[in-house]
Amino acid sequence: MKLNDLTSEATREASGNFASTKAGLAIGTVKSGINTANTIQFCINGISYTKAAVTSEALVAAPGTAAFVPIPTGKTCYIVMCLNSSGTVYAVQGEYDGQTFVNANSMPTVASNAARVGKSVIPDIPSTLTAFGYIKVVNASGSNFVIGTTLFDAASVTTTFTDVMHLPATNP
Amino acid sequence: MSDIKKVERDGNTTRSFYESGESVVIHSSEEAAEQYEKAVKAEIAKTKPKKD
Repeated sequence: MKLNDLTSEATREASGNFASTKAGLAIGTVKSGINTANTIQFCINGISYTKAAVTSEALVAAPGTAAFVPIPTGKTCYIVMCLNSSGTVYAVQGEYDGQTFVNANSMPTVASNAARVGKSVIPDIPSTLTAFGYIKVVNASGSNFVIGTTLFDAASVTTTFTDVMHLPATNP
Repeated sequence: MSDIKKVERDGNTTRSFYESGESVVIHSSEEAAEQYEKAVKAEIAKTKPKKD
C-alpha cells in the first residue's frame, strides 16, 4: 500500500506526516526562541528524517504561511513548531480571538467576502511540514507579544510548551 | 539581561517573579523545567549586587 491509496488528503497527511519521538521542546537559552532536548525522528510524505537538537532557534514563519502578527494583550495564540524535509525549523502562528481578516478581493456587496473574525485554535500547517510541538502564549502583559522578540517568560505572560507527534484535535 | 527577582518550580511549571509581575512557563517536561530554573537562578546570582 502507498499513501496515495488513501483517498482523503487529511488521512494521507495524518499517515505520512508525523514526529515519532519526543522533541523536548523548551524555552530557548535565548528566551525569545526555542530549544529542543532530543533528536527528533519524523516523517513527511512517508519518508523518514531526523533532526538534531537545537539551541536558541529563532522562530521563522513557514513559507506559504502568513507573516507573524503581534499577539495583543488579553489574547491567547498557538504557535506550531514544524520541520521540513531539509530539517529546517519553521513556526506557524495561529489566529487569536477577534483578529480581523479582510479579504483582499473584498466586495462589500458580497456577503461571503465580508471581513472574517479569527479564533484562537491550533492552526493547520502545510503538507510539506511536520509538527513536533506547539507553544501556547497567553498574553496579559498590557502590551503586544511580538513573536521572535518578546521573551517567552516575560512578565504577565503564560507560555506552555508541548511536544506532539500529531497536532491534537482539541485546543488545550 | 532580564530582571527576574525569583524563580519557583513545581513539577514542570515555573513561575518567574519580576518587579512588574509574574510569568508562568509550563514546560514540556520536568527536566526542561529544572534546566530553566537552574539557568534563571544562575542569572539572578550574576545580577545580585555584591556585599562589601
